[in-house]
Amino acid sequence: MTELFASLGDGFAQALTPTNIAFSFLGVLIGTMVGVIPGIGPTTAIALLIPVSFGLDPVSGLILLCGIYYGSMYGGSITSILIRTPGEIASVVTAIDGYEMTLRGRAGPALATAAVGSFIAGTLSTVGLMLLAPLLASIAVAFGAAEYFLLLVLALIMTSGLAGDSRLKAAIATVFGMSIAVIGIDPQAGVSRMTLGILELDDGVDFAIFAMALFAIPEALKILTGKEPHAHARVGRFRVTMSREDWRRSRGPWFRGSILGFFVGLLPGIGTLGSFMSYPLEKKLAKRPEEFGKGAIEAVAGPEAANNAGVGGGMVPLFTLGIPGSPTTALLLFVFTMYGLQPGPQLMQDESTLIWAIIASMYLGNVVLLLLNLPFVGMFVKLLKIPEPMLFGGVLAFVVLGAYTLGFNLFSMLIVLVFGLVGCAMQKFGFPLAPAVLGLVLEPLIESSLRRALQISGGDPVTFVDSPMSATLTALLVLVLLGPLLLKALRRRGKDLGIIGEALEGSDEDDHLARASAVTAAGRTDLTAADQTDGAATGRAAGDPPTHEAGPLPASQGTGANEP
Amino acid sequence: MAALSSSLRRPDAIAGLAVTVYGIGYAVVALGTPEDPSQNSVVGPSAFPVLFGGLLALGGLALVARGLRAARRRTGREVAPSAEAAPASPAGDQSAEEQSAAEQPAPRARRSFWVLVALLIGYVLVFQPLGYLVATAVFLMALMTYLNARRWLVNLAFSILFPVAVYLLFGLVIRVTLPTGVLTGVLP
Repeated sequence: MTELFASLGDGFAQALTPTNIAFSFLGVLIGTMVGVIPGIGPTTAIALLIPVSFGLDPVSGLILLCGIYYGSMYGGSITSILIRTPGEIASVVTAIDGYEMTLRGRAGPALATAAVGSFIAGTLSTVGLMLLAPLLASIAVAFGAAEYFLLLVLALIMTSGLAGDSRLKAAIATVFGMSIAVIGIDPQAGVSRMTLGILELDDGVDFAIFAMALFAIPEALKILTGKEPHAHARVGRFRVTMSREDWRRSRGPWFRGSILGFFVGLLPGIGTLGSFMSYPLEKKLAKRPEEFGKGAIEAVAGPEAANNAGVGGGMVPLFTLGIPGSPTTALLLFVFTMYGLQPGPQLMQDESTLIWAIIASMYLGNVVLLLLNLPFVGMFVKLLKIPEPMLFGGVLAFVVLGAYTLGFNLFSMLIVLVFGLVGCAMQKFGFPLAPAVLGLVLEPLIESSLRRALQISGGDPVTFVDSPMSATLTALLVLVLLGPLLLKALRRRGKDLGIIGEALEGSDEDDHLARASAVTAAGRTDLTAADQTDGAATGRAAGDPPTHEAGPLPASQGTGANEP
Repeated sequence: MAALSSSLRRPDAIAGLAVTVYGIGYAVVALGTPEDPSQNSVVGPSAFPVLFGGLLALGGLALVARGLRAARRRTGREVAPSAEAAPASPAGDQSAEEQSAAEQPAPRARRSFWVLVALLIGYVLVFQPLGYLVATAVFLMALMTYLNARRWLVNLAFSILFPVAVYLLFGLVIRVTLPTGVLTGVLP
């Protein structure tokens, strides 16, 4: 334990230099500004801002990006609360009661509880990370290539199963991402694959380009073509403070949300759902549950805390095993490799000072977030008043620039456009985007671990079940793969039984898609207007435990990215 | 609602077709991957690509099947209510109106979409020759004028300030050189 604190102390020594504090500050600031842009969430923000971290040493660069991460999450909360436009799935829940609070003139307390809750959660989850990571890292060393392979596939399946609309489309998106990852030189054999003879493709498709293209471009184009009317910041003046009552009511949700969010964040794929679980939990424990859906502060405090705690939780598998559980952590993984570092148990040992510096910077980032956001929210809100053509024209210009900085040639920029169009097509046809990104990141790891596993075992597949760990993982894998299919088969059987069939037919995926898309097609302003006049509608939707098809907020917002 | 839903079903089949085509094409290219010249590995270079291509082809076919099946189901449902609504024509007119209303904003949005794409392509192409500053300024001005020509002064100001700010940011803070293009020699 003392060793732990000694390491942390070292980390702080590195992190608390004036330069790094400045970077943390800058990161949070820029992150919040970018996160405030409607439709831009943490993943897109980080993807866009990766070029900004070029030329920095790893510590500073990662500190900057951590700041951006936290900042953009809070920026997303701001837009959720003020204009009901969550940038990513994680903010969807905040938008429910957060916006209701705004409508009742309580935007200030909503933002305050989000900020304080985020701080508490972020700090607590960093503590959790600090305590858990070394533990997990020591177990992870016991992971052989076979176990690693199984874990990766499991993580991939769980993550892609998350998409709201359709499992089939999520699977297709995942494999598509993996198919793009293959492009380039095979690391084992040294031959070019799928490059069609184009030399520039030998290095493969840059992950940041893929992420930028898939997330930022479709969103920007959608808004610019006016297909996505978004409520303008209907904000008057507000002061970001909370009454004593607010504090009292928020306390419990903050802590419960933090713990819930952290542990949920540990699990790949599911990590983003912390806020979705916090909502019904808080509702059950609330003194006045009927207020949920009409601006209950607990409904903002809990989910917001869960969100931020999920960030710390998500870092655990990333640092200890090198396994990203979400597009954002996948991006961070990319940044690590860009700096020549390979996250995993090896890294925890070799580069412990770096890891501890990053952990220290996470504490720092949380503090900066609080200091910056409580007084200065008004400034960020002003950003919302910038006309869309400027805002999103800027975003598009930045995407092109980002692509340029990653390749310094025309080809990189063209590639980003190509994938941007692919992203638009994917969105239009209802394919989730996040699984594609995860497929891209995980494919090289999956392929290499499979090869190593088989090489070690001499081609014998028994290696995937011959140790207790691998046998368990394989069993889990089979369960996760076949489970949904079994359920569907059972439902079909029920269909044959007439009336039951009628009831079940109404609940199948196709109808969810139709409903969600019909809502999108009707335009969100319709929805907002309707919900204003009929608060009960929001209440009703919010009353149901939000599933990942979350009520009236359409899936198309969620396809932006899964988060955190 | 039925009108909207049915127009969603065909896209599934179209998407599925596109995925299948991609999958097959991908697998074909993958089969042409050279083999591992050095060791004989259990999982060769072509293994995963071919697998992905195959999975995508299958997935695409499944999607097509689903799209066609659902389309048939929706058409079945539409037939029944419209048969009932035939005597009461207002109901029939209404659903036709709904459909055209839903499709009306689409053509304009679609056109601006492709205009924006064209602008982006143009931007990318002139990025290096014209240099970052000029190319970005032109791009932004064109984009904003297309979307909102009235506020031309603000647009112009933004079109100039934005690239300048970014150029300075990248040049001074991040130390990345952006192309100077036609302004080469003029800029420090």
